[in-house]
Amino acid sequence: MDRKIEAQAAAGTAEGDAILVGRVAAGDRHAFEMLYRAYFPRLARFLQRMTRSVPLIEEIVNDTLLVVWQKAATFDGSCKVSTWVFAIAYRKACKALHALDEPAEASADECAGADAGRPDWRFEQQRLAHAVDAAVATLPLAQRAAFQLTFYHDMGYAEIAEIMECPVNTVKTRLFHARRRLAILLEDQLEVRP
Amino acid sequence: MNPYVDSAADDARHNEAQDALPWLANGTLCGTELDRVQAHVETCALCRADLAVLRTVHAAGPGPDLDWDPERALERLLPQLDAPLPAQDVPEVHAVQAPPAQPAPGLRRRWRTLLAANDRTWLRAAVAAQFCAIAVLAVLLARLTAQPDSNHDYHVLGAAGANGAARVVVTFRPDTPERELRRIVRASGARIVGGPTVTDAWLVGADGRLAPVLARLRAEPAVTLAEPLSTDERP
Repeated sequence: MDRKIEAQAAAGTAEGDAILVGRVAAGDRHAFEMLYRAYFPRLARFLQRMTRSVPLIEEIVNDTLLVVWQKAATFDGSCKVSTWVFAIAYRKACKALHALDEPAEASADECAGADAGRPDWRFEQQRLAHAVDAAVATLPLAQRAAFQLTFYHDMGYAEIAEIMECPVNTVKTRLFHARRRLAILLEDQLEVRP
Repeated sequence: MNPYVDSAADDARHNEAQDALPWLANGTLCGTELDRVQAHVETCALCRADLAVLRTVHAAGPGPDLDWDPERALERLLPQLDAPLPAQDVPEVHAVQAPPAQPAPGLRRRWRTLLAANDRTWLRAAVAAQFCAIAVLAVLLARLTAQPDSNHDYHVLGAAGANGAARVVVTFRPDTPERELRRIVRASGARIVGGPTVTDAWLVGADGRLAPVLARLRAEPAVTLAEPLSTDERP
């Protein structure tokens, strides 16, 4: 891989991802490792709001990226690489979590004391992030996924609909219900915000 | 009625904006939809308040990462890259999803399944076998009915036996022992093919010439009657 292409691929843009997938389809392991390292944190953050089990998160990410390795040649470029990869991850997660019947976990308590005693803005941000995390963890899986893809992965509703294989209006409805639920759970947290 | 809107058109714009607020907050809204939603938000205090909350949530970002390790996971994955391609969960838009592979059941499990009373394959085979057996029996019964046994036809005493050789009717003295009776028949070169009748007559046949047989029978003191019969005559 020449330096120009490698730089483009490493940039993490949609075009860079497409270049990497093309290389992966040709059996380029170096390209696969670049893609793996780029997507692992994104997928892991997406998955860690669905399960708190680190081994399970790593297993689902590996299963997802193994499919990418094996099926890269079938990627036709009709959507972004990130949409394709997240769609695979979402399906893998749904299958794994339904198979485990793992309940939604509230992580607020285990995180609440971590940053206690830091009365600065950053602490406020972290405290709110913990509170939101805990509230999001109580949402049904589909609402949780739609919420995360919107607020933590900055995806548009059309892309989310493609990932979750549902109509756009379903995504909007899921977000609407998620917002109502979070507004109740975070009422005290958000009132103090400017 | 929402106090912030005063017409059905405004109500529709408000609902559209409310649905779109999360994507206005994350910056992915675009085109005319972005223009419409922004225009509405500028005039709607409720939407502005909701947007402020969503932007706060967006800015706060996710909580801390868990202790996952990409390099550790990659090390586990690399040996699998050369494995044969199994059925996968690939979205249908991009690849046709193969049905999940079922593990091969053990021998005991296969037999248990095979012999299970609710196994449809086994039941179908049993019903088919029963049907075949019934069909064969029905055919046999029909043939027996259509072709009555000729042995059931009426026979006169002088009619031929199985080989058509019965020709002599013989009677013995009443006190002749059974052993003596057999000796006489055997010595005459004949053989019993029927009897005794209600008159204690026996029907004997001879494969060879009839006259010597008849003569030997008549020579026996215990024989009271020995008369030839025609095999073809009917009363």
